[in-house]
Amino acid sequence: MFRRIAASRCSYRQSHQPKLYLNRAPTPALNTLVVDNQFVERVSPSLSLCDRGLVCPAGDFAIDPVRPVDLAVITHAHSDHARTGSARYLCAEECAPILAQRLGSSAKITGVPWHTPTRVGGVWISFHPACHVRGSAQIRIETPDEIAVVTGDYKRAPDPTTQLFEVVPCDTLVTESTFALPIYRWDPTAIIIAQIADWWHANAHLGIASILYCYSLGKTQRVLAELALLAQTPTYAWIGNRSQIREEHRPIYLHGAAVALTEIYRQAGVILPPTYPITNSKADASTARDELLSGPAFQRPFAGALVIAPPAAAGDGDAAWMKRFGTDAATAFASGWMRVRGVRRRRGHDVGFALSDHADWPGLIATVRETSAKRVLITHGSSDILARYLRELSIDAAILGQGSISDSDEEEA
Amino acid sequence: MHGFLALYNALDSTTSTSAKVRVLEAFFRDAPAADAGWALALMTGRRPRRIVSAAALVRWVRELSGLPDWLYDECAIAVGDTAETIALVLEGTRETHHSRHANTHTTRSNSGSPTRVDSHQFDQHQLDQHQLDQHQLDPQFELAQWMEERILPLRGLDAHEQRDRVVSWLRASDRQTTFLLCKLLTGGLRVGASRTLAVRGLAAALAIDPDVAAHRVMGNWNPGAPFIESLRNATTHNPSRTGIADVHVQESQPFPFYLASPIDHASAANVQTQLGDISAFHIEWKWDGIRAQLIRRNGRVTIWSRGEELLTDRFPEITDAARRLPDGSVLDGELLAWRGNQPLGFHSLQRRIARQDVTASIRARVPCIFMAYDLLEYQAIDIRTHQLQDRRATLERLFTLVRERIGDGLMQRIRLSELLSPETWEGAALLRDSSRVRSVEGLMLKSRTGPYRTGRVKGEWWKWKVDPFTADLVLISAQAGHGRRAGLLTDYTFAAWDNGSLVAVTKAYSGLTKAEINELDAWLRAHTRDRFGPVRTVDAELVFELAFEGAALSSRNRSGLALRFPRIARWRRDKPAREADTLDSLRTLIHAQSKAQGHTNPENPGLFDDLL
Repeated sequence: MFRRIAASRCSYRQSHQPKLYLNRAPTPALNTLVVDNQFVERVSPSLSLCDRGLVCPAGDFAIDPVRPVDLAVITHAHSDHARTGSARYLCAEECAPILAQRLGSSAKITGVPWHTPTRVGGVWISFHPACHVRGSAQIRIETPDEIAVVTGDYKRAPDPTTQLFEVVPCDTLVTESTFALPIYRWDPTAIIIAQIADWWHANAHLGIASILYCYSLGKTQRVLAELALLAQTPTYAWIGNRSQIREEHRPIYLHGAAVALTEIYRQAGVILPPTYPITNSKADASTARDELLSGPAFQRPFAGALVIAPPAAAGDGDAAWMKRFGTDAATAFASGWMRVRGVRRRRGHDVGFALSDHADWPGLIATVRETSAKRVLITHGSSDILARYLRELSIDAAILGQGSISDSDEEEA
Repeated sequence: MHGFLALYNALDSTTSTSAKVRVLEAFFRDAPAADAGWALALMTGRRPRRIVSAAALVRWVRELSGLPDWLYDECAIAVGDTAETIALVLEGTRETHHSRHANTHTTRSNSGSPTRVDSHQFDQHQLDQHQLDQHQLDPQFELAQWMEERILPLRGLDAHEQRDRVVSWLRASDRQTTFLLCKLLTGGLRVGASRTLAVRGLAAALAIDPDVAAHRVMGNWNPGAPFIESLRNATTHNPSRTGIADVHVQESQPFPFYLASPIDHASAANVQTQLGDISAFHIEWKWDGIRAQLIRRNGRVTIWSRGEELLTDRFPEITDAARRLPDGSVLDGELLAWRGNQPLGFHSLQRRIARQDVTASIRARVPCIFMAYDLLEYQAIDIRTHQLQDRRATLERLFTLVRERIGDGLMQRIRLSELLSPETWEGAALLRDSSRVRSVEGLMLKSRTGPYRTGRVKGEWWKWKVDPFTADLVLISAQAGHGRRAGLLTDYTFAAWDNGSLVAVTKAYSGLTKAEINELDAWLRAHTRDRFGPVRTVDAELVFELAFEGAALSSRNRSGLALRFPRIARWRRDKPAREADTLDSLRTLIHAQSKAQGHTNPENPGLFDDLL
């Protein structure tokens, strides 16, 4: 029955039947959330696992629940963590506008400022920056028995669209493990962004468009913000140039899916370069084009441009959308999965940039050590590998549930 | 290895063919001759024999990395490429100068938000430092030097010395250099450019016709500077698509092979639609042997396989017979194991080529012939641009001449592939149906008026193969693939029933669509029963129809069978595992095959002979 938690997807590295943390006999239903007498597994003094996902019985809430609950505490607004249908949502204040955009206006969302302890049921919870995407939080739960931290997704590298990751000391750490293999270690962001800009520049020199696939929430805005920073250096001052002169024409276009989210980032004060929307509607597209290119001489508006689009727009995903670029475009994908050449080639991209919003291997290990957690529960990715490695370091580590709610290289990474 | 690294990266960062050709053109034009020579050698498959075994290299790297063996193995499965795994794993042991995680801070209390401003400025220092970190190891040491002064001299050193040297290079190399170095060491470099593209780039750099370039890089040559220099110095005043064979071609050099394209939908009516009137075609058996060129020039005989393997010494009886051919002749044809009047089948030929030394006993057991079907050079003149019917007439004249001069017996080892003459495509289809009985693969359809082209160019030669055998087998285990399929379970093992249990019969890798591969990958992960290293045994539920070209008895396999060229024809979602085929039905197939071969009596005209 624990399978249901992961039923919607298949794990990237799923190899075992459900492995539960505790070897004790199943405890009976503990908590008011579980009305239909469902099986509940207690995974730490304050946390249990049931068919809703990870729940805190003492606080009567669920964290990133997979099914509707009364109170959902949300780590971040990606769709595999923030699902519709719950009665109330609690998230970091920074996350609230993004979550509202994703869940619709009817969702009852309360944003809590960073670090502010909030009484929920019988426990104190607080939100701490996870630096995965804007507003993404680690959730710290304090009960008389223990302090537990649920990281959600996180990265250790800085990201100009949100706060730096904070190490939150705890007894029980629930960590993600999307990239839990030693082959995953990220180059400094400054270098990857410079490589992206160089690639764009070289394509522009050939008179073709550069299509960069980025997840619509998070990666897109991070790349934009980093480009804005890069544009402050003299070498890259050309970034975002909008010019009638072809040699200087370097605008940035956004696929429709990312436009509203990017606007939320802007309104929150994140500095992003100017972007122009591309939508599927012909009327909109021509308006955007006319607005941008009043000069009749300009026949190929995308030549020299950077186009940021979600991976789903690639190739077979949305052929109609791609068609407008004809053969005059180079494609690249910005994702941690691009660390492996075979994965990039399988997806048929020209170039892959290993730019990830998840922790790399050294980041995962460092986090486990720095939190001084006595017990580590691992979810979301290569959990079996990370658990085995930590146990060999004499750290009490186990796979949470089936070890994964995600993932494949299709996931936001 | 800066120049070669740049070439590799440029090729690797585009999927556009024309962009790759431009990159190659610039490289072959501008790179130092020695490096260009080595690069060309590697890209055309002329790499030196493996110097260090991948297993030894992995052993050294595991020690160096400090990772537990199981973790290294997990990395290898995810990456699907030995050299790339090594490069990625070792990067962790070379922590560079930029400090990681310098920007985190710890909080327990409700401190205010951290200061963002400083950490979010663009880090020029990081970028500069990164560039400094690149190419620490002798940046001026280029590909040719790497090969000639470092890698080739490893051969002949003892294992310890090999290890010490390789480890010291790996320690001093960045990720990309490590990747290329490991590829060079294990002899597995494929540069993201097919041989055809390399030749096109070379042709553009030399400003010669690609077909001429393809010809010049055939056969034997050494990767060093002189070869490229000779190519660069050879001016274009002898483009030589007609007339005397290219003067820059050495005496043993083969012509590029012309490869047939498959006929897609194999009914006679379809062939009629696709190719038109049958009278425009020469029709021959599609021989099931090794495609080869027999070269007789300057008193010497050379035999090259299509894979550019030199086979002269493997077939001494054919080499001897070929000395009777007039000088300046190049024949295109097929090496076949042959007894009496018919082929012995590919399986026999395989036994023959597996032998390093060709003893009298193996020669007696597996006698071989060269079945000639085309003439590319006659009286030292390259005749490839002439029409097939003229080349064929010349080939027949050549045979008559030799026969008249020296008698029939000596030419037993070199035969002329007979022309079949069905009058309709339906008649041809009947002939094709008899292929299995004759141990041939089907029919070749060749345009009478076509030239002999280079490579797989559609239009003149077609292969109309006999339908494959099929069997419905159960998928019982899988492991992750390599390269493009890294991390995806695409290496499948299939089983047949034998007395109520499933016995593994064959592996297969190809035939599923991308969507099916993804779906199956997810299914396999959810239905894994057990893991043995990279291999997962899975619930024996799914049935696939496998196509294959034949089956033979084999002692290597628990089933006692070996399928030839197995591939997945389709996913039998309609069939439960218990209805899959049995080992017995596969064994029956083998008996039928050998019976067919044994019973065809060449002296007795068969059912179809009146059609010829």
